Amino acid sequence: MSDRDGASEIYTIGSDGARLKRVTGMGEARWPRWSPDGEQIVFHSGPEAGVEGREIYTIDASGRNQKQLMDFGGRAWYADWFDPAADVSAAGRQLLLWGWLKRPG
Amino acid sequence: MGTSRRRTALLAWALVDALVSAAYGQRPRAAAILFVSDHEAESRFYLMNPYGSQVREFLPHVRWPGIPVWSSNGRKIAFVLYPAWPGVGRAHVMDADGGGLRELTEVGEWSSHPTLSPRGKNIAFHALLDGIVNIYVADTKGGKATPMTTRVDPAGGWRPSSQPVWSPDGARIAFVASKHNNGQAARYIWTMNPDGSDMRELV
Repeated sequence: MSDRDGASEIYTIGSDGARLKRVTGMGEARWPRWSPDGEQIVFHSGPEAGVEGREIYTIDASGRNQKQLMDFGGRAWYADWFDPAADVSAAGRQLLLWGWLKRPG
Repeated sequence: MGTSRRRTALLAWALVDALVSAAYGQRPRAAAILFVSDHEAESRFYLMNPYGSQVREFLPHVRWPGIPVWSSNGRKIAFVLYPAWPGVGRAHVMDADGGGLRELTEVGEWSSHPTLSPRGKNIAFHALLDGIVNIYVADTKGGKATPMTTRVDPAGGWRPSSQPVWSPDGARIAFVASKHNNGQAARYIWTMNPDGSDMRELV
């Protein structure tokens, strides 16, 4: 999140500091959080101070498909998400493979 | 294990992987989005699906929470708990079923912006102590919180560090550090190892 272009917008950057890219273009975009699969970002809109006028959006990391998720009259903020499949698909798959390879016979 | 059996094992692995991906890997993969709202008076946690529907109250006994983060295994939630709003909050952690609520540390006059390591074993947050905001790391089960960013060069104009975020693999923590030059304040993104070593300015 940065106001380098005037308004607060969401940017992505590689962990090596390269490939800086602006994702949003709405102004007042704050508090970005990656989806577990790394393909989407959830964030809230609205002013930095105060809580009036804040709504929750998702957007693809490419900057496309921005959408407001629900309408609580501008009083929703600080979103984060959880994916149980992320845990299953990582640890569970390793466990399945390990069990299969180590089976008797 | 012979070559033939190893090849069979790899084929089986690919099949299992494809089946599990088909079952769990379709977008949107997120099962739930947690957020905060005070649209019904005091602020509470809410859950919704990734499409923004099926909105429901979550852990209604928690009043005036803010800035929640979920551990990637879904078992813990860290957040700031305010005694009232507006007010000074402190970082807390609890199990995702609503039990085990506790304050992380008594460090500082206030603490905020908690972030959990991927398995929820450790937590980082920023806190104000003796007039300086620094990032601290602690075990979620308890113990002393250790300041990690006191080495961000104060002599070079760098000031308090805040807003830590743990990397998905648990290997790094990203944070914001402020620098004051000729009365102008600017904020930069840094990363470090969870033990405070290898600090690097990113942008």
